Amino acid sequence: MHRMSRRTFLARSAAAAAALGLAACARDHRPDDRQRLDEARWRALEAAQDRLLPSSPGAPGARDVRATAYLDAALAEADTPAAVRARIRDGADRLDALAREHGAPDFAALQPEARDAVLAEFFDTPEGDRWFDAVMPFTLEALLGDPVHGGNPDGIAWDWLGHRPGWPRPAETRA
Amino acid sequence: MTDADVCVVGSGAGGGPVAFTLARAGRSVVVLEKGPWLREADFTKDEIDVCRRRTLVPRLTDEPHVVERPTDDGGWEWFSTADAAGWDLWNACMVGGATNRMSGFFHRLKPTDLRLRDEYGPIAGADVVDWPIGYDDLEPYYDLVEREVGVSGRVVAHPWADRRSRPDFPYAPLAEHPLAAAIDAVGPRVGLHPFPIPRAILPFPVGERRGCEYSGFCGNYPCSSGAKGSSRAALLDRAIATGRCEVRPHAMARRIESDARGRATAVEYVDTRDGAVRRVSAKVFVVACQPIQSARLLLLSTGPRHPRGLGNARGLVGRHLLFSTGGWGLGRLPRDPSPLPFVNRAVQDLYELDDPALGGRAKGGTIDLLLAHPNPIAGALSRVRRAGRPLWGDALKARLLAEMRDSTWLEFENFVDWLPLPDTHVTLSPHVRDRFGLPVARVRIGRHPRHVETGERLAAAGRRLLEALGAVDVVTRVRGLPATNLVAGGCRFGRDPATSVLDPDCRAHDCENLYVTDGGCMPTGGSVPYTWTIYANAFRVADRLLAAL
Repeated sequence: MHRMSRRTFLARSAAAAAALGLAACARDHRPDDRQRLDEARWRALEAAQDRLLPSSPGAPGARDVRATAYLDAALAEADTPAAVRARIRDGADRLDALAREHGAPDFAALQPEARDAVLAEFFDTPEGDRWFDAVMPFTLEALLGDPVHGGNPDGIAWDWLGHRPGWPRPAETRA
Repeated sequence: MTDADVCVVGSGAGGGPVAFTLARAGRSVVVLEKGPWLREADFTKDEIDVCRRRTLVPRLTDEPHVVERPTDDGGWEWFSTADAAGWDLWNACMVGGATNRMSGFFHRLKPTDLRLRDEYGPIAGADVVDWPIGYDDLEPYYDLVEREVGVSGRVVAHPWADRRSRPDFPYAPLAEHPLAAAIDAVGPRVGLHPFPIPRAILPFPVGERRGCEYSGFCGNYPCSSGAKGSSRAALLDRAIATGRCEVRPHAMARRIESDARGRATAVEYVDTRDGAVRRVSAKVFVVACQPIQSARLLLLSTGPRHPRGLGNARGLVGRHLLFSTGGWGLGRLPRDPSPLPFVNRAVQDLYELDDPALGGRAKGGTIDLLLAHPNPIAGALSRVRRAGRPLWGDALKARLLAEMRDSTWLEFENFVDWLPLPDTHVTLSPHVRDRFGLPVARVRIGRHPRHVETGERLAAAGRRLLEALGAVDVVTRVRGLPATNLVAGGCRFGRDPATSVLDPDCRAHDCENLYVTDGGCMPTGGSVPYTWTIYANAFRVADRLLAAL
């Protein structure tokens, strides 16, 4: 017996639909919209997530839970609304633009304190406030989700918060 | 010849008892379920899969609802849930329905809940009516549910204790978190009488079902041990074992066909995997696919004698939809290391209020006490703003440590009657269709000041109790919003065809072989979660239906 996860569940549904030539019936995907992050946006988001959840001794941060790779994969998922995908990407561009106004080549080139200042400036705008709401769920999923999804390696963030996961846990590893 | 004696649309708390009763009585039953057929071995306690993705519910871009809500200037605005973050009226599309995901906090209605109009009089702006049946009609079936679905508990005396035909529950109570004893000790000091909440959870293995494994992650999560009394684990698996009940998953009913005499003849359904359209004919049809979707299906089921839809000769289908309301609160205690997940206490001292501001005697409600849900992602996300502003960086991490690692949060949930309102109802959207090309349900959700007035009185009592326990940072929220996992009404039962859709046996007044057995029949909701009542009433109707077959 196996435990069905969303991944196998969706994969099976998609396979069944594809076999019948009906894949489009159930999906709203536009392939161009689901591309992986380009290098510039990855850099900006990685630098931002590192300030949203900084790493410190004994306390994992975004870097330790591979939060940007998680975000990149999540943005390509069919469950993620197109508006959320666009908001997160536009926010990455906006952070770079704000950094350039401060004389830096891009957001990731800033020192940590300067990144915090740019983020605070961004969050004071409605666009930045919405970006925060879009990016935090995936960042915290990477921190506190089951390691099977690609974040929280060996449950380090569960250990940090004294969290006891429920069981059964998903048994598969991400392909 | 028909394909089956009875076709049941929906496999949750309304459908399971009918399939179970009829199959065991020798009748053939086909159950149509829109969702997949997942079993214990498929379920995990993975927050991302179960709670944060569309694994158990349709994707909103494929199948939204339309919600209409009041605007500040007295009008209505509408939006599709595909476009509005935070709004979702799906609970679970899977064999067993939402009973897979319930917490299983089981309360009976009180005898007075079935005659609110008679007991407390009319309320301006609401359409309160009495039920066509009384508590004595339901009591044998509440009792049956305790045994067949499996309810664990312990009877203690309190002012609103249930009238029972047996002295105690058939299953012993679950092991309790130490806070339960603390609540019992503190309650009387603030004038309250906490009592153990019956749970639809087996404390030990019974038949094919394992007992509770105390993994926590109960509410929202389908149960991997089978201990939780889902319609699937408790009833359908046993109905299927008779050899006379067939469950067809991935089968979304889109229309009930009817003939020139007005009798229902077949259900037309779509296979959600390949889009194929199929039919099931039967002698009797039972609709139980959750009140919003049941109303939608009846409205879609036009026929020669039913130009406005089945059961809808008087235009009453979809009217007086009920939710539940009342608000909630929580408070913070020092971290208690006990791994036991259940506090299982409730307070019903305020089930009736006597308050001049409410016109004297008035209906109150129930306060359930529970540990805050252990979902860590949801817990962390609820802490990313302080005073409305983004909280991030080291300040966020410090807060997570203090509030998640070092604290235990005790929560209370209020259950207050959602009054039957003329402006809370289901119609078909003229604008939005789902991926099958069908008009989606348009749900208008009104407001009534009594929802908030009652909720505030309960919240004050909940706060008193939390503070007497030593909780700090106590927060309460009462906003009169609907709990969208608790839905009833829309197909009222009653004696008068001019004012009700169904007769007292939950058979449509205008279609003699059509029954509705989910919570849709309820004219008023009662101030508790509905599941036990839906189960009990569906068992009652199954007996009536069997006698009439």
